[in-house]
Amino acid sequence: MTIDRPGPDDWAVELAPDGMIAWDDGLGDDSRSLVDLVNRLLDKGVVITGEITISVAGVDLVYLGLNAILTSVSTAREHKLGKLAPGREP
Amino acid sequence: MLHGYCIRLAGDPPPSGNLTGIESEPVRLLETDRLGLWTSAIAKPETRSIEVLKQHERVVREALRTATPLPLRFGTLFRDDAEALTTLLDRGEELENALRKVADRVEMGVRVSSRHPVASPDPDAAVKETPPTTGRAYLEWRRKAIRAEDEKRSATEALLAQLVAELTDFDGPAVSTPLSGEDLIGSVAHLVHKGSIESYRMRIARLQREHPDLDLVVSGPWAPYSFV
Repeated sequence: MTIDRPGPDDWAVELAPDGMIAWDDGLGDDSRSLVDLVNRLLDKGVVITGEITISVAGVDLVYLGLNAILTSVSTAREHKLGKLAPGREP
Repeated sequence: MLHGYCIRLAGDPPPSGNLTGIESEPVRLLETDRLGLWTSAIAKPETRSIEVLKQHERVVREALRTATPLPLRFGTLFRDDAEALTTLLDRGEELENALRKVADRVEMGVRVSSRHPVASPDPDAAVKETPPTTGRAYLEWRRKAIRAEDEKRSATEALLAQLVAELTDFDGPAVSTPLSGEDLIGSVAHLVHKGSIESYRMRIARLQREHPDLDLVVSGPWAPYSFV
């Protein structure tokens, strides 16, 4: 198992006495951490307006740069994400 | 134009005076008599990047420190204060009820990956080697590819369902989400009481020992994205 990382300041947490578990605060830079972040922010949460405006240019960077299916294709289309990376079918 | 971060009950602590969000704009509170909206001005809503997503999330996390908010779907925009307040008024009862359901709770997640990922066969390999020359051959090839994807999805969903079934210690609901990419299998999210975060981590640590073939990573606490 990987080394545990401290949690947010408000919830000071001691290491589990019976072992360690990897902890990701969701704001890291590796692709797996970004999966958690993108999956929640783009695919979940309350929708209270009729239309969610998500740009194409910036999210292209998210979608293509991670080179992974972070959201379903249908969600990508719903959010008007840009074209897929070359070589990938929609 | 305003960018919306999250909703809380009127009377909950407001954002601190020096809190900034996207485009380094100050985060402020718009309130009705029942609800409050954390928001900031935005000049270029079309500009998005990983960093912008993180800026958004940092604001939501700040809100989470003092009271569990309803996190808004990223990209929620309002023309002006009036539109934002009208939206809060129109949906007041529904949003209040949603807030009550998540009060004092946070979302904790566990991300599941395989420690021994099997390289997915290139679905196009057969086609590249022997391109279908007939419509029938093409359809058969497509059928095999779809079946392979369905089998993989079913296996993923079964594994996630098994993990959810093993995590019955928590009294809150659970949501599982298949993910793909590299060795990712999916994620499972639970709505847990703020006081149970450590218990959650310890439970996942035990689950990790029970599943040495998987790589489990706890994430959170999050605002309850998956439960609103």
